[in-house]
Amino acid sequence: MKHNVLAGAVTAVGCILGIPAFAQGSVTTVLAADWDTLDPHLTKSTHGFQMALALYDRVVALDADGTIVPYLATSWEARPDGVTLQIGEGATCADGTPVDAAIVAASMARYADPATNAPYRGRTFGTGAATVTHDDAAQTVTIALETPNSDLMLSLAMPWSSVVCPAGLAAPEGMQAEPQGSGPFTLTESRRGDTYVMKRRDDRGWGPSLGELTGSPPETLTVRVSANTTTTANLFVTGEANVVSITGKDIERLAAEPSVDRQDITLFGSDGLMFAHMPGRVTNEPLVRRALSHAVDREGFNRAFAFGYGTVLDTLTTPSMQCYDASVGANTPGYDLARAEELLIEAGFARNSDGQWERDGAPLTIRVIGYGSQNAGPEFLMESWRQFGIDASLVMGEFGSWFETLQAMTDWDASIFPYNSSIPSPSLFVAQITGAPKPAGPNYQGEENPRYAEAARAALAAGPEDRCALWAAAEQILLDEADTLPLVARNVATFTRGVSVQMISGTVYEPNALRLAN
Amino acid sequence: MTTGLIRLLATTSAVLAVLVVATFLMVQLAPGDAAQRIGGIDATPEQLDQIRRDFRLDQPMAARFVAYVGGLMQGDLGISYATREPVARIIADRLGNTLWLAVTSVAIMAFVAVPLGLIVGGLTWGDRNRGLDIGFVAGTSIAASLPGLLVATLLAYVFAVWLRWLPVAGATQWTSVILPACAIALRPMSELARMIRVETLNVLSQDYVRTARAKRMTPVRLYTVHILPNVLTAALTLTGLVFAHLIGGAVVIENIFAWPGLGTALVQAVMNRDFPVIQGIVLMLGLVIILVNATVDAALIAIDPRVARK
Amino acid sequence: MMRHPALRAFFRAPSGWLAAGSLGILAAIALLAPVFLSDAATQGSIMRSGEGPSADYLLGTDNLGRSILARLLVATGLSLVLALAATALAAVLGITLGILVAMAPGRIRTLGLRAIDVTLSFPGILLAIVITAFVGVGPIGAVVAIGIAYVPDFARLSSTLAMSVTSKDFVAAARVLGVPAHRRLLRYILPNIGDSMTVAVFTTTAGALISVSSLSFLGLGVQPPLFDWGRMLAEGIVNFYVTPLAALAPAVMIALAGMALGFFGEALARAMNPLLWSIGDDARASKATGSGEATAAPLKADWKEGSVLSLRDLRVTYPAPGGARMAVVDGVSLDIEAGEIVGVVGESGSGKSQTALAIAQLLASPAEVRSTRHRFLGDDLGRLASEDRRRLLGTRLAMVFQDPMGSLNPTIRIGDQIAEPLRLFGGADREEALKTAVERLREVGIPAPEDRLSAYPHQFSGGMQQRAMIAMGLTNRPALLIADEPTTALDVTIQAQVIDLMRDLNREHSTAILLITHNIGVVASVAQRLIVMYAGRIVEDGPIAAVLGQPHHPYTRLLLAATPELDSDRDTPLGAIEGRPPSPADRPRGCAFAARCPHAILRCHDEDPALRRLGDSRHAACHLAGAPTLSESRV
Repeated sequence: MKHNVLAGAVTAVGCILGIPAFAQGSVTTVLAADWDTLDPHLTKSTHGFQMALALYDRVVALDADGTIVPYLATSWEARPDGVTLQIGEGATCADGTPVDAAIVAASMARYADPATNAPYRGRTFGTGAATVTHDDAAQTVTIALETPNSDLMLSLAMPWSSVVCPAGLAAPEGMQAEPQGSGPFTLTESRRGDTYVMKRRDDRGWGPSLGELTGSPPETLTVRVSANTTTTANLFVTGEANVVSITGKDIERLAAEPSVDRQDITLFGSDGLMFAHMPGRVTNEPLVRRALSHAVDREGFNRAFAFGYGTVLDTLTTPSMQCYDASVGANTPGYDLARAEELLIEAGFARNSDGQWERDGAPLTIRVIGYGSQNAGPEFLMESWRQFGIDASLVMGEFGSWFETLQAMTDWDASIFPYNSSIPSPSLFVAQITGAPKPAGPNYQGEENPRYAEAARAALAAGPEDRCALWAAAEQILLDEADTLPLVARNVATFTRGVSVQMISGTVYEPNALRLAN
Repeated sequence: MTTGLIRLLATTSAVLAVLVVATFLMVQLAPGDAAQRIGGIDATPEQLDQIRRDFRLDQPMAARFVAYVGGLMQGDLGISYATREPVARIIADRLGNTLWLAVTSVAIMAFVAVPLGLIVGGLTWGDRNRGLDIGFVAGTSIAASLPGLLVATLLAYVFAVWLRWLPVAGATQWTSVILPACAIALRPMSELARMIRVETLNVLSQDYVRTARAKRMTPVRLYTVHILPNVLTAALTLTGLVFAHLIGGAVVIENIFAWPGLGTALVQAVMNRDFPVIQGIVLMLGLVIILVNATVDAALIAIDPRVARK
Repeated sequence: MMRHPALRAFFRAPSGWLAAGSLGILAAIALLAPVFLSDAATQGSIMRSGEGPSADYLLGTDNLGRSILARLLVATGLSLVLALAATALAAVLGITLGILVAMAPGRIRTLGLRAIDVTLSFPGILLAIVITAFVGVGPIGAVVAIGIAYVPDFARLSSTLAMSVTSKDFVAAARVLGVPAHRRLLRYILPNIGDSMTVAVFTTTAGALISVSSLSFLGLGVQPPLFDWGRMLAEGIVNFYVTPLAALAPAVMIALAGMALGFFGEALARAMNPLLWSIGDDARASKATGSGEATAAPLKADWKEGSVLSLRDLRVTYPAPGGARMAVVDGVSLDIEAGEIVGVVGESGSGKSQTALAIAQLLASPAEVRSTRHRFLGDDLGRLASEDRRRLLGTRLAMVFQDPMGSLNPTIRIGDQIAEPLRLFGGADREEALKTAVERLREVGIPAPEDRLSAYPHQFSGGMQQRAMIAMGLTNRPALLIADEPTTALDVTIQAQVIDLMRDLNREHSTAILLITHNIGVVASVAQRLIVMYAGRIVEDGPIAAVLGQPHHPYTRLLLAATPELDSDRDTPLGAIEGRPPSPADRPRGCAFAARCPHAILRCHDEDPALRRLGDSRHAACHLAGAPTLSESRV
């Protein structure tokens, strides 16, 4: 024990001199992991997007209501198969180059070029080719799409569609760590994995039309990195950060802190119960999928999976997204063990003397796979089915091995899949659920649902007025066939102290809208 | 002494060569499709082919080894599968933090463990002060048996959240290193203190200590001039060994204190199956450890006149 | 109850009891908890998930509303099994590897050892993390990863131990005799490294428990539905600030189990190594209450002016098993005159070295020293202020020990060691002191002493080292030099030189010398008086020629008889006398030598003979001393 005391004494002596620097007059936020690259077209992580939002401009932006508002483009003319943007005046790159139509077009062309290997190209330009042209005289940029994409405008408001300045286009590798943008902030200090300090540009006379914002924009935006949620919460408690997004039980702790503002944002898209549709798997049978769905108490799942901080929904689309329609989920299987029993009997199963489900002497076995950050969710599924008489087993791993098992498309029947999108549009489910099966596409459950695929194509090609009805119809098909069961929409609580923020999604805020309370 | 150093240099180089081959094989034998990992969720077959060409995954192993060694010569450790960042830069960004943390932990460990072991050894020699003996063994056992995870969390709670003496996390100021260093050092510190005590008892029973006692010097001189240097050679050897454990212990601690070191990067890379990064970090840590050991050996040759002859 | 010394050794320290008790409890929990608590541990009410402690759930509930207490207990089995399995894997692979390397021929062995060293220095947990990338996560992955990570530890330990065994004479002999390698391994090597490896197994298991928890925290350990302490800790720590018990409870279990394993290993090592059976048996021995004689006794009248040392009734005791104290020196009285050389002989264990150390006041706990008089150069050491005593002994008394190599500090230059006494009390600066050191080195016959000052002890030969020791003793021109077996470790020709050197010094500076040896030949050539000690007492004392010519005590006589030629062979040790001296712990009634004495009569077994004066300055402690029966029957 003497030892501990001594260690404590050493610590105590060491610390008297250093009192944590409190964030004053500036905003300090926390990323849950380090960014991968500061090239906005190439980053794959929300952390990279968050950085890009502060360092780059976009042609349009989203306001607090989710409406698309002018940014570099003062006006636009949108069609499902393209858009013509009118580029405004006054914006300059950090190096002083004025941002005009030619620069915007060059950036868009680089983003659309398949050789760039931009991971989210498809979200903006669809699966087909995209042609970008511009008119120097009129200061317009025109994007023409081969395959229609009704999410084009929404996606242009997102960080992956950021406008890269000519210096970046000239030497793209350099953008990995050195941003070349015209955004509200410039990176002045970069300590990888630890702290990034950004200064507000003092010549900033442009920006998105985000409505009336009270307070003054921060001169300094500091971004810290902490992978540990509890540590992130501690940073907020001690005042070392004044904007943090938190999930899990630490929410209770921060909510109890004095003079704190809190916003809860539902992620775009529920986490759903994904079934393996590969031939030969028992979950290929709709009756079995429906029975398994009825056997899950989703309120309980919410507690196991999201510590009770999620929202149980009947749809994959969440109220935080465009085109949310609760009626779509009217037929979503609820917790009903009697109904599950009937369905299994209908599918040819019977309980044996031990109460276990069997068909032709073979037990009904379900193999669940999951990964660590799904908390007790996968275990809850397994336990629920076991108690119902199904021979359920669970293989947990870290994300990497879960993803590999999923990709291998063998040896699993059910898993929780985050049908989350970075944009508030239902389009992202399409590829994940009905795209071509592996290895050609990202359809891990191996499902082929031509009806949904057709409906989704129609929705992507639709104009703004028809779009939502078509998406609702498409999701209806999906849910009616019990292809997947919407489980819980996760909520992220963002706590702020003395700062007002506007969230773009659960964990990403709009840096242009940061305001310090006066 | 010179021959000792030359021999040291030779073995160190041989070990380095083994390390290079081992890290190369590690990546080559890694399971799974590297291209798929690099491409990520939405990669198309065309993109995957492109990636295979970019990362030389389509070439035979011998060619890749030549390229790997050639790259190493120029300080090129490859490209991260996950972020496409040069591995050398990932390491360069974090190595300093890792070393700073490790060196601070070693310093804390040594400055506590050596005097503690020495004093307790002196006080309990010849079966005196049984109470102190039991207390010391119990205390060090507890400290050595507590999972670092808990130690780190408790330290953060007490000194950062409750007392607010030190920053919660990160490497933002010079005081940032104290809490993680203490958390890492606690366990090896207890072990080192016990070993130092045993070594002290050992030295105390040596004849030359009796000789020194016969000279009737003050206890302070006895311990500092006659006993400490003899304990130190053992302490130095042990510290060299413990250094590796410090770097290992850092992995968990780095997460809790959001310390931007190689441990965090390694765990992230293992999660992502980002083998070039794993390879680079293992190579770099191996190099650091080899160098530390070589330095310790060289220091021993310099300090203890007997070592050079062995 | 605990007859076997191994068992006694195991349970000697409280840690042995605690460790065995705790491990017993853990084992019982591991076996019984799954039987009784399995349902409570695996089934819960999801609506009560994540609760803090309550009457229903003493430690609260986990994310699925299950009792943390029940899970903690049920997890005991898997936690221990994982740690043990990982350790077993590491031990089997590591020991095999280590022994193979140790038994390999020269160059391969060197390479192998270096390779083990390198892998050893690689952080185990990092190795484990990397390994999980290959073998996957889960219980098997954790066992393999941690097991492999600990292989170098075992390889290093076993190779070191095996090499020390293979270098031993009996293994070398077996090799020469053509005993095949596998037989040598089974018969000689494995049994001899067993105890150390056992300790290593237990400490490694404790380490493995912690490592598994680290893996779990990183998401690489045991995966649901399986659960161990590591996983519980990792899950609990996430909500540490809301429900701290969920993390503290498994951490405490890990720490307790780790400590129990560590202590158990140590206790087991005590039990497995016969050399450790008796050490520390005195743990409960209380300190004997002092009689206070030493300070209270008035000086006797027979104090001679000019005496260097006057000692009366010296007793040195050590704690004995059972709380008593045993005397290794029992009532020794001794006077040394200025310039006198007094030889002390006796078998090992006769108390002569203890007497010497007691005279020099170099004995420390657990030894206890008492005497009714201890005067040095006229000063009563018991009454002197400690600073004065330090100075008096530091300047006027010097000691030379048996093993010069071990007695010189290996990390300090010879010159500084010799100069040190001057600097301690003479107030000399380093330069002056070194000058004196040169003189002293020259005095003891070391050639070119200026060049030797900066040498380290290991650069000296054995004879030179002993000369240096003597030079060091003489630095302050002491009045008394106590030389405890100064020649035993030296070869014959060097012995003679050292003895001659002491005689010269005595002659030139009239330094009194107390020369302790078990070699009568050495004494005979230099001493003026001879003291014979047996079982902690002086049994005969007198002028050397008289004692050697006509010994009064049968023991002296046997000693002399066992030394064939006095002058020619100084190297012949004592010990050719049949039987062994009694242990100080159970000293017989009567004369301690009676059992071995060819002349013992009934009285000898009954009555302890006192040291009697027999003629001019001669004493002996024998009932038969001076009696005709003894003088007639010369052996």
